[in-house]
Order: sequence, then C-alpha cells, then structure tokens
Amino acid sequence: MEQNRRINESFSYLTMLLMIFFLSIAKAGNNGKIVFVQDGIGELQKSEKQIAINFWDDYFNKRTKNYSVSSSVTSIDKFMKHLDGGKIDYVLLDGSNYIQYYHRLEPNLTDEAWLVQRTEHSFEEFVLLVRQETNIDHFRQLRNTVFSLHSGYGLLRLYLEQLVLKTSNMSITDYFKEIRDAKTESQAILDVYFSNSDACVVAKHVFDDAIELNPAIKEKIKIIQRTERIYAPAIYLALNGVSKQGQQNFSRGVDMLNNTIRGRQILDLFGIHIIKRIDPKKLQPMLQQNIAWRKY
Amino acid sequence: MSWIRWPGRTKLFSDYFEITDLGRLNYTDCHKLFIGMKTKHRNRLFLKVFALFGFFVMMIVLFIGYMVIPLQKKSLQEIMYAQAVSVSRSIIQASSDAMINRDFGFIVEHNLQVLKNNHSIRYILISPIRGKRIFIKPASWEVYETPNQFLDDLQKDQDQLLFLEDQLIADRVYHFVYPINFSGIEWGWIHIGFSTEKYDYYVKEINGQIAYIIAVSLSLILFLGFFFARWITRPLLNLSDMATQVASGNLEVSATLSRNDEIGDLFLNFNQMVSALKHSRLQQENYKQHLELEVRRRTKELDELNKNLDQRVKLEVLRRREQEQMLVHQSRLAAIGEMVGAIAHQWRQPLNALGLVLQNMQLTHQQGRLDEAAIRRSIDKSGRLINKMSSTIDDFRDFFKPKKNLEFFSPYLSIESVMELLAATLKNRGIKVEIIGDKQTEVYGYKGEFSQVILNIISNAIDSLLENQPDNPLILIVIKESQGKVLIDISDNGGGVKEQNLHKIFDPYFTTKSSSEGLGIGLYMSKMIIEKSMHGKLYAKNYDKGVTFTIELSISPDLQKNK
Repeated sequence: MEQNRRINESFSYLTMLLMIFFLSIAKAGNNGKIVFVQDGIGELQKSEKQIAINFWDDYFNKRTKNYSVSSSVTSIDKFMKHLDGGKIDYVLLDGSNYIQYYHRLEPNLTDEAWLVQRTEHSFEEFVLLVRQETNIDHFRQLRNTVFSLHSGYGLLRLYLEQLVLKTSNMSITDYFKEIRDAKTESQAILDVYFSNSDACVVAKHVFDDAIELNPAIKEKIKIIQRTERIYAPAIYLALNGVSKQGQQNFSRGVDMLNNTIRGRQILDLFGIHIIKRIDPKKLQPMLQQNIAWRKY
Repeated sequence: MSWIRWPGRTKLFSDYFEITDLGRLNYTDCHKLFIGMKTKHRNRLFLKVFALFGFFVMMIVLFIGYMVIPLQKKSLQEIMYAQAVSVSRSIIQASSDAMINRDFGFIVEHNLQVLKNNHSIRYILISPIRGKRIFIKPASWEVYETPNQFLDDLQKDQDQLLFLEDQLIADRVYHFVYPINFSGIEWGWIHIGFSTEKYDYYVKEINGQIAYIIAVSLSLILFLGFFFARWITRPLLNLSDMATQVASGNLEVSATLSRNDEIGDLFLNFNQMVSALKHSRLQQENYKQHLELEVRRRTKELDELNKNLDQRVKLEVLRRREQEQMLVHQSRLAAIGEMVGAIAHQWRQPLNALGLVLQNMQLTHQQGRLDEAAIRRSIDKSGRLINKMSSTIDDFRDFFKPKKNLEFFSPYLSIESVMELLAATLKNRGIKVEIIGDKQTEVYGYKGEFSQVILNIISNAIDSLLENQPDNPLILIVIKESQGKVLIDISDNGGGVKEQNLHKIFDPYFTTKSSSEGLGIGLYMSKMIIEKSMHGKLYAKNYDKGVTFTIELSISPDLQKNK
C-alpha cells in the first residue's frame, strides 16, 4: 500500500483560512488550537491561493490579532504527533488520506464531519476513459499502455491502484507502460483526446465539464468503467477535544465561506462548490470500497 | 410661413435681436437666426464678426479634434499591439514545451486557464504548421478539421494586428497573429482575439471628450464671441448711429469712446470731421447769406432790366435794322461808286471820240471843206457815241433797280452783263476774263442782287490783280451744274487772300484797303444776299496762284424750300 504523500494543497490552504478565521474570532488571549494541514488537489497555483489567504486574513481578522498560523506538513508522523498531542481540533484530509489513516483516526473522531464538495453531489464517481477508435472495453486491455493520471487527486490514484491490483499483482508503474502525470484531471482527458495517452481516470463531473467545453470529446472518448458515487474529495473531521465554542466557530466559518460573496469567491478559486456537514456514516461506502488500502 | 411663440423679452440681446412682446417670429425672415429671433439689419456686422470668430474657433477645435482622434486611436492600437505581443509571448513561453512535444492537451488546458483569467481575450487559436488548428474560447474549444483559407492568409512571417468582425466569432475583435518560432524553426502561429470593449470604450471616451471639448468650445464661443463681437462692433454701431445723425443734419453729436487703438482713432477722427463739417457749414451759411443778398440785388437789377427789355429789344432791333439798312445803303453806295467809276471808264472813250469829232468839224470848217456830207458824218458818229453812252446809263440804271421777284435767270448772261459794264475797265487794266459755262443753265433767285454780288467779287478780283501785278492777269469764271445745284467759280490769279484773313473776309467792315478805298462791307453783303436771300452758299478758297470765290445756288425753287 502506497502512502499517499501527495497532500491536498488547496484544501490545506482552505484549512489555513478556516483556522485563521477560527482563531480570529477567538477571545483575546486565546491562541486557539492548531489545525493540521496537508497537501491536496493541486488545481491552483500557489500564488493564487496565497492571495486568497491574504484576502481572507485581511477581511476577517481586522478585529483581532490573536491568532497564529501553522504551516502545512507533509509527513504522517508529524501529523500523528499533533494528533496524539491533542493539539488539533479539526483536521482536513483528502479522501485518500482519510481512507488510509481512518483506523488511526477513528478513536479520535467525533460524529462531526464536513464534506468538501466540488459539485452539487455530495460524492463523486470516477470514470475510466479511452478513445472510441480503440478496441479497449476492459481495464485488462490497458496493460502496457500509456495512462494519464492527475496525481494531485489522491483518490484517483488509489482507485487506479485498486483496479490494477484486482487484475494483477503489480504496481501501477509496472502495469502500465507509462503513467503521465497530468496537471489537472481535464488535462488527463485531453491527453487521451489528443492520443498522447491511451486512457485516464477522472471524476465524472470533470468529464462532463470537458464535454461541455468541446462536445467532440464525447465523439472521440468513451467510458469503459465507472464507479458508484461514493468518493469524497476532502473531509473536515472534528476530533475529540474540540470545544463547543470551537465547533461553533468552525461552523460559523464554514457558513461564511458558503454564504458570503467573498467566501464564495474564495471557494470558487479552489474549485469548491460547497462545504456541507454530513453524517460520518455516509463515508462508509468509500471506506468499504477501499478497505484494502487502509494503512493499518 | 410658419410662426412660433417665444414669450417675453430678453434685455441682454435687445440691442442685437428684436423679439416682439408676443414673441411671434417669422421663419422666412432673412434676418432670422436659427432659433428664430429677428435681428436688426444694422447688426449684420455684429453677426458677421460673431459668426467669423465662432467659425474660426470651431474650425480650430474641430481640426484639433480631427488630428487628435486618429492619434489617440493609433496610440491605443499601439498599446493593444504591445499587449498582444506580450500576451502571445507569455503564452508561447508557458506552452513552449507542450508545443514542442505537441502536448495539445496541455496547450488547451493552459489556454483555457488563460482565457479564464483574462476576460479581455475572447479566443486563442493555435495553428501549428503541421497539424490541426485548435480554437479555444472561454466556454468551449474545438479542433478545426478543415482548412481555413482566411486564417491561412493571415499567417505570415510578420505579426499583424487587425480588426475582425463576425469572422471567427460573432463579435468585433482585435485579432492578433503571432508567428511561433523555436530557435529559428517555425512551429506555427498563435491567433488571439482581443475584446475591443476597452478599445471601444476608450475611443468612445475620446470621442466623448472631443465632443465635450467641442460643446464647451461652442459655449465659450457663444459667450466669448458675443462679448468679443460686441466689443468690436458696438463702438462701430454707435459710430454708425452718430454718422446717421450727422448725415441727417445733426452736427451736435460727439463720440465719447476713449480707446487706445484704431477704433479710438476712428472716433477721434470722427469728432474732428464733425467739427470741420460744422465749421464748413457755418461758412457755407455765411456764404449763402451773402449770396442771397447778391442774388437779390442782381435779381432786382434783372427785374429792372426785364422791365425795359422789350423796349430795349425793340430799340435794338430797330437799331440793327437801321444798321443793316445802312449797310445795304452803304453797299449800294459802294456799288454805285463802283459803277460810277465804271461809267466814267465807259464814257471816257466816247467822250474822247466826241471831242475828236468836234475838233474834226472845226478843222474841216477852217479848211472850208465842211460840207453837208461831212456834217452828217460827224452827226452820225456823235449820235452813235451818245447812244452808246446812253445805253451805258440804262445799263447802270437797270443794274441799280434790282427786281424784287424771285425768278429763273441765267447766271451766265447775268455775268456777261456785268462784264460788259466793266469791259472798259478790264481792257484798260489789261485783265482778261474768261467765262466757261452753259448759257442755258438757270438758277432761281434775285437776278439783280446776283449781279451785285458778281460785280463785287469781280471788283475785288480787279483790285487784287492791280495790287499784285501778275504776268497774265486773268479772271476765270466757270459755271457748272452738280447734284441739283449750280456752282459758279470766280477765280483770279492775283496771289490769293492771306490765310489769316481768309475766314474774316466775309465779316462786315473787314478790309485790307485804306478807309478811302473801301468800307469792307462788299463781301459781307454779297454773302448775305447769296445765303440769306437766295438760300445759297458763298465761300472762298485759295489756290496756288490766287483765290476762288464759289457761289452755290439751287436750280429749282423746291430745293430752295427744302433748305
């Protein structure tokens, strides 16, 4: 099982924003609890995120200076240290890390979870795409082909690994002739369209968006496999020890992101449709599908 | 004719514009302004200056606007060009690896992002030399499967920027084509369609500003122009009014404007002119009065004169008549004198002959030879001589008893008669006379008076010949007919009349002789007789040897009447 060392960048910055907000509305003298961030979907350039953060920081933190910002971390060990130290109220994880660290996290989890949605649907489905002109109808036929993958979205990689393991006992790098790293999911689709690669896996809504941009894509590309709508791109999890005040602050912060113009602009920058609270039980199907990939 | 209502008056413009109380205006009035106000005709100068001022200022403003707008547009286009080049280069730079590797997925994705972040870019078209064109818009993209000649024509070695409308998209764009080269190797072209929104906005802004400037200028023109034209024309109008008053007779006007320019000088000169005019009028008045007095005096004299004029005229007429009669009488007496001289000449020879006869009779008697036959012979000869002398008297008497009736007569025969009277004188002086003409030729007039004229002219000719003593003294008389007239030329070779006297010879009392030899009225009377009585002409002309007197007379009485 491969550790997902890719961190949801955008969500980590989002976490930073929420943290800033959380800390900004804390009472004077209360530094608040550090929220751990991780790299995630690298859809956006760092400079744009920084601008959004600066804007958020400036907009919401004029009333108080009593906050501190933590930087993102990449190692799971560091994360666990913070987790064990009880210094984290909320953690943002992309779906792949949620799956991988669920067992470790489970004792610390509460019944509060917030789902980061990229579309109006709570969960996403993934589709496997190839060109129409090829005779490929099954994943098995993709052996020794060139595969485009947006590695910034961990769940896609996890899914691909799962597919590969189901058909062989190989790693994805061995299974395929080449894995092309696409900077975005839509670029992965374009790689297939322009015959730079033979197949790709993307979220269904990304494929739909690509077709909307160019209907000719539908003529040229077909879906050979699709999942159920069970995948969550990122989840905010409230950990044990979070105070009621902290929960209220977080909830208010999310509400401001979802329902203010500035908040919506920031969400749009990150390609996020909405952050919605869910019942953690709804994450189970995702967990069940990928149970083999739990780290522990 | 149409009418509009414009209620009320406008005092400010009342000097220049006339608005009735009711404000009814006539559009067909040639003095009307575009808003329909009626101008006083005397304010055309104001309008001309105002219009001229406004016209030139407006022309300058429009010219500046005309020059500025293209320059501004050009500047905008240059800015857009620079922007287009910058954007093209940045896209190419960001996509260079993808272009070289022909990773069109990246190219599409990157350019979609560029379009998303740059709302001023409407589309990007990637056109590789080998491969299909990819046309990317903010909300879509496509691959051009078929060739496009229009795009091919745009793709040249140099970049170019041009406006397109409804070509690649249904809108107006600023289309920029930029060749893509990697290390000198042509890869293709990038076409970028920039929105003209900003450009149109700025152009509209410029146009708006120009329009604003024009509007402000117009307002300023109206405002400043009004006062400028007023400053120029008002003094002139005042001057015009004063000049009108002066022209109507009022010299008490005085121009009061004090300006240190040509108009000030004009006013100064006007005042001087009026002053001079006033002085001149005063002088004129004085002179007029003096003239009136003089006229009155002269009128009085004239009245006095007029009162006696009739009487004086009558007296004068009588006097003149008496003078004329005296002239005639004198002329007659002169003629008589001439004739008496002629008679004396005529009689000398017969008297001598008579004396010889008597002497012969005495001698014969002394010799005892006087017999009856000798006495009869002497008596016959004496009788003949006496008859000849008597006929001479008759001739002269007839000559001096002119008939007063108009009649047809032969000038030739009349001249012959006169010549017979003067035969002895002519012979004695050795003067030859030739008469050439037709005896049948007749004229209509007073025969006797004609003879007097001939006698006078011939006498003058004789005198001239005697004075100048030519070698062969000759008097030539030629009678000829011409165009219903008879011309009688009497020429002598006595040397002619001096040129300075030629025009005076017919004047009364003009003579070159001493007072004892003549009074100088002969030719005057001759001219009177020929021209006044007989309605002919008498004139004289020198020729190389002498002078020719010409008498013109009509042949018929009708011709005379027509005269």
